[in-house]
Amino acid sequence: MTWVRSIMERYRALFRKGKLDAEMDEELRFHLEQETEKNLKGGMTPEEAHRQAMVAFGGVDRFKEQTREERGARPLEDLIRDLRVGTRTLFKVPLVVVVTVASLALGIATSATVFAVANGFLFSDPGPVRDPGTLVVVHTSEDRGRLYGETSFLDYQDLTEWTETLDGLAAHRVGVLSLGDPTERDRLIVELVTGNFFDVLGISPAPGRGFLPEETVPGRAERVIVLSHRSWMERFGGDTGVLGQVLQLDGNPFTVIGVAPEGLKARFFQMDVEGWVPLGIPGGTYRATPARMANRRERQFILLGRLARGRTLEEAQAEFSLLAGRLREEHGEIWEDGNDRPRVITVLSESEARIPPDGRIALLGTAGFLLACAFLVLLLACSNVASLLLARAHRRSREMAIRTSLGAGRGHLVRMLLTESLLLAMAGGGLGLYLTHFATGFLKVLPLPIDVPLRFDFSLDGRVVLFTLLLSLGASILAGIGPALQGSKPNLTPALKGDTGRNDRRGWRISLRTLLVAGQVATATFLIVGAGLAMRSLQASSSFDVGLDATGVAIMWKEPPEEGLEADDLREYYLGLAETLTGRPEVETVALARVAEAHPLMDDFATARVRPAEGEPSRIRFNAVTPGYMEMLDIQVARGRTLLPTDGPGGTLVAVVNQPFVDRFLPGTQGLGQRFTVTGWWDAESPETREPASYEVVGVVGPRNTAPGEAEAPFFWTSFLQEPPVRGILHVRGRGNAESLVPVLRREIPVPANEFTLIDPSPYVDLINYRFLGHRITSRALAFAGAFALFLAFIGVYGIVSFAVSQRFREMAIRQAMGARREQVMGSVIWGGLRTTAVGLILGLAIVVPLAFLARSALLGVAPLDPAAVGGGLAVLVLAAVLAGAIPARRLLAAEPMEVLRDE
Amino acid sequence: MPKSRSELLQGTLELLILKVLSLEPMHGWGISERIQLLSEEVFLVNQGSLYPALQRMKRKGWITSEWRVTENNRRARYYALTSAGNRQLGEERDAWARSSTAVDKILQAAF
Repeated sequence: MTWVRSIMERYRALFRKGKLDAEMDEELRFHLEQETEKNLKGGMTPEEAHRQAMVAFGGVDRFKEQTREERGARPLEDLIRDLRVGTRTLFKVPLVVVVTVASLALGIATSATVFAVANGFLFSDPGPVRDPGTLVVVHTSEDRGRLYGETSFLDYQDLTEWTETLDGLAAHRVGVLSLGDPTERDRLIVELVTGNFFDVLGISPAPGRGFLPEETVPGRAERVIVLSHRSWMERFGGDTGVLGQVLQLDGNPFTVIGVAPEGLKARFFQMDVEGWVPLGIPGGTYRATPARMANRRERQFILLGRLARGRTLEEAQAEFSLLAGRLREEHGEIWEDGNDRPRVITVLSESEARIPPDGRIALLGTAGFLLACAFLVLLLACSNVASLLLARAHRRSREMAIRTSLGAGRGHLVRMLLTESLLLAMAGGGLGLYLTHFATGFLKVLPLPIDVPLRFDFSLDGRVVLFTLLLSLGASILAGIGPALQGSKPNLTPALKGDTGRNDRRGWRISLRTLLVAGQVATATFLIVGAGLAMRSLQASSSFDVGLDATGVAIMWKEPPEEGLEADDLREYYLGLAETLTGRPEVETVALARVAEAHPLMDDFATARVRPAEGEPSRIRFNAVTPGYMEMLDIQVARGRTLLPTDGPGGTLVAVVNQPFVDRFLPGTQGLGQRFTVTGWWDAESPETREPASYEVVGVVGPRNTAPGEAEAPFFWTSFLQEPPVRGILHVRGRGNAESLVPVLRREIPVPANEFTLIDPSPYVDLINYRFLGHRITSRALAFAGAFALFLAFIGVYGIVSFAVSQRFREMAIRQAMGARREQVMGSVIWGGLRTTAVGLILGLAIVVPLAFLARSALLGVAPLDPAAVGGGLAVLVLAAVLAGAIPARRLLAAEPMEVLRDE
Repeated sequence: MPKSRSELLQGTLELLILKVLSLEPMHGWGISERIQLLSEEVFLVNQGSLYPALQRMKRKGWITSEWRVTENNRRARYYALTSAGNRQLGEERDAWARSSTAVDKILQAAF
């Protein structure tokens, strides 16, 4: 039972320290008395007897330390004491603490924010869903072969009936409904789901209930809604009285039947929606109209399935590959992907489907890059902290010397100093988490070029908190270990004599601190110049040639009031909209086009398969536009003419093409007067049922300036008046700027709230800029990183110069007393700071310049040594270094030389 | 205080304490006096290092302690050997015997 006793001993040692210490004192007293008595008997005087007893014992305090050490609870006891002492000492130097904690918080928050966003996309918590591991997502391949597409409702019904590997398969898609009066444009973003949706997820709404079978029969489904928990709280104050209430959605009554469990999100559990509505209501909801749901080409549903017990993902994949073959046999061309290849079905696990494999590398790459930058910022913060701690360790060398001579071991001192940096890092981590909370809240609503607020979940879940904690721990060790090792071996004799400051008499000795600051400036140079380059390239990209000049133009997309209009009626409808606007005094010209060519989300909205004279046909983009469109957007023809009002119905089909089109499809000609044939049309990846047609080239647009490394793609324009009008996007140029046109468009062409449009009235340029959204987010993140880096580097340089000044107070005072002019003293101090900075600058440039050359293609036409970015960055850094030197130098000059000397 | 001596004592000190306590329970000062006698003043026991050693041995479970009253009516902490301590004494004694024999042999070979 030795171990029991041993544990009891330790337990006693930890919690009954006071009693143990008292016992130790008594034992010690007894021993000394006995010894003294013995000495007295030996004939010594009482004083001598006591002194000899003490000598024989060999140092009372040392004995106490060692005895405590042997009690065995030492590590814990020490930790508690170190924490107490650490907190106490830190409170004595609030400025150092504030600066350090702020530095760390910035560094930690930067990393944690990047992590939280990536975490939100990749691992968002599926919430209350049962056993998310057996959920799978079923994808039908898209046109042109992309694997991870959506599925039509009829295919969904067949697959549900046929599958044996899945225990349930639900279809869903996101939809937008108006709440209350449609003109108020109060929108409800919901998920439209099949009746078994909640069953497949394994959740039951409460309060209230989920859908009953009879409420969800396609074609007879009832108008009911299950509210999301958030919507219930925010719109209805969490009142259970809402159950059974009727909401006017899209002008129809929907009964509230339940509330989904808190935390359930839509679309791979990432998106915040307000409720769930059954698919198949008579007349349909949103885009899930009966006509669309009965069309096998309308692939608009995400399928979420539950693996049957004992079945694996591989078995499901094997089965669905077979089912895809069966669908191809039954439906032929519909189940081909536009390149005469059969469509395929891919089954992914739910967690994998969130970011499909084809998008994952790009996302992880960007996240990794940003995280690396954030880590650099944290590294800067750590070196600041290390630098501050070093300075403190230096000032405390006397304290350390005393502790050492009292018998504290080196390990003990290191631990004590590390505890202090741990406290700092934890405080920094806490504050950092708070900042992260802000930053992610800010990022939650992604700035997308559509008017529906997509809300994502970047909440600070356990993973983010753990990440932050580990980061703080790592930071505390990184920042603390150097100073702790250096601080724990004081040079006893001079340190005890109070001679803390003058061991580097030879001015700016290369010390750990100098190296730290040089490294810091190097990192800052890297980040600032990088940020400068990124911002310059952002600037360049906004004036980037997208093939048209959209300045002063506003656009909007209005859906037709009803579906299934005849071609002529539809064309009349859009021409009528244009007519309405033409009469307005604010409006100069109006044009219609099938697609907004430069809009980032419309790249695949109009494509055509063109057959060249020889070789394979290929699919390229085109647009159908009204006369005046090309003039409005300054798309200039180099040869021939633009489209005219005379290019109307019944006339010869005509087209304007660009130079790459001529090079590709009409080689060896000037293009003008040539003919070409289109053998297939697609709109948003859905093939159109249309006969092949032949066009005559009437104009050729000259080549445009493309970004380096990008080739201009073939493109052609046909007449809106001659084409089946799939849609008409209004392009308006006004007498003022584009912004002033937005209210005009809103007023003249009201859009009911239940109509979701991809393009709300907006300045065209703003929308085009979303092309560079990823670029812009990266640039902005870099700009933040650069600003933080500058701030931290400033603190770093300031710290070291200020420290050096304090070291040289005496020397400077003597110099001044000997008649040195103030400017000389000041200059010498600032020069010292600049020398350190210069080393860092050169080091930083040596890293950033080659990297910039490597990343040239990502810089969108900005030279790797762009003078504004590189020069500006360097200037800012040098300025910061001068400032960081000037402030302590002024402090030095403010001191009276004689007083400094006397004080020493 | 010279470091070498305390290191020299480290192993033997515990053996000596065990030896002393195997005779009868004893308080700290008594132990140091007894050791002084037993080792015939060869080892100069630094009394200060005695208590940490006692604490260490107590943690290892070789000895126990209790407060008792001495012959002159003083309260003192008495240390006593446990059965584990007894075993340990045996082991230490053997180990000591082995190493001292080894030292003897080396010395014989050298001279």
